[in-house]
Amino acid sequence: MARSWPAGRPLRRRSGQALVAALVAAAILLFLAAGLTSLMVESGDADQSARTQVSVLGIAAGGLNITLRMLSDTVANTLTENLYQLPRATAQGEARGATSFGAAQAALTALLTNYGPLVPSAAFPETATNAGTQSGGYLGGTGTLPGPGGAYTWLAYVGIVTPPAPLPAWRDDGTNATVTVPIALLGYAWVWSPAGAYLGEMTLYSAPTTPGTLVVTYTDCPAYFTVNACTNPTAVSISLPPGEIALNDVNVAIAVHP
Amino acid sequence: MRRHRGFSLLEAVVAIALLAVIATVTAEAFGTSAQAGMRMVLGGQARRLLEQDMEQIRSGLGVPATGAVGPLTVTVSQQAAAVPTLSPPLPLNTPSCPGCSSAVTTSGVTALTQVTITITDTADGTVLASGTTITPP
Repeated sequence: MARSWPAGRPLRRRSGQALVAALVAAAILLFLAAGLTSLMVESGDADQSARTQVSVLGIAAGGLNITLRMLSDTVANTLTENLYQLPRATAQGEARGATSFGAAQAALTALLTNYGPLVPSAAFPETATNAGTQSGGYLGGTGTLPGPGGAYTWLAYVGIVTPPAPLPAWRDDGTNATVTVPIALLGYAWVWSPAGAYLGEMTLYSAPTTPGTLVVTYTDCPAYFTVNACTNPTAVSISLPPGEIALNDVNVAIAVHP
Repeated sequence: MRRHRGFSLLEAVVAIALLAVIATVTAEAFGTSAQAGMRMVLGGQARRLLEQDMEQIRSGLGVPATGAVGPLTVTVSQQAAAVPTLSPPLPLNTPSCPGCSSAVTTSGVTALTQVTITITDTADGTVLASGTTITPP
């Protein structure tokens, strides 16, 4: 039996299919266009963010360099001069008593804070640095530097701390006596955007194998001499070690915006 | 019959118009995407160049010069570094030895150089990357 369709039905059905097909194709193209646009925007944002991060690290390094300069100048001008008042007996006692890492830390902290304007690390809030696990003396500075979109705020602490080894030593060759205290650098710098958003951190540290030294020299005198020439140092020399950097150290807490 | 043909023609016209509009949008998206891709390539080059220049300054190997590097133009400006605010705010630690000074020396900071590097697309002058740092002590 032959099938009978109303006249015109097949044509309308075909045209309806064409519209549906066109709509499906349009939807696919629309999704493709939207996907491309979204990918383009997100890639652009990621690229811009990567370039901003380079700027941030430059600013962090700048903050560390400024604070390191203040530290080295203060060490040269103030700490070195003040250490000329370090009595021989005190130096000898601290060096000989520093038979462990903890004792060496205590001895160095005493030198830096009794004879220098460096703030003991314990005075810094634990939320700002992890320096609570390190003993030493720090300086801090804060300022702004230009970056993409405005002025970025940096905060940096740089200090002198005790390296793991060697321990302080007292040596007397019969003519001169010296106390040698190994020292290391430890510093942190944080950066915030012009809008106040935290952006990143940089750590400055000394390689354990290349510590600097704090050396105080005394002239040996007969026991009956008690004048300053025999009890006070004849030379003080402080050599800061080179520093290396680490980026976004996960062990460092984020500081409070200054 | 005639009514049905007219209806199908309308549908076909609508379908073609719809496809034409969406195809145009898609083509534009492809074009913009290609342009964005080129911009990202340039941006990537600018980032690597900025990283390299920042590292050169940070490690004390000197300040890079202004000039053209491939399709990019590097502009370098320099000025004395500004003295920061001491943090935490003064007073800092006071040494306990009699007569000892508690002075913190900040004057040396101005001997350091603040270097700003701006990298632009030579073709149209668009700023692709910029950064500022301070020379090491």
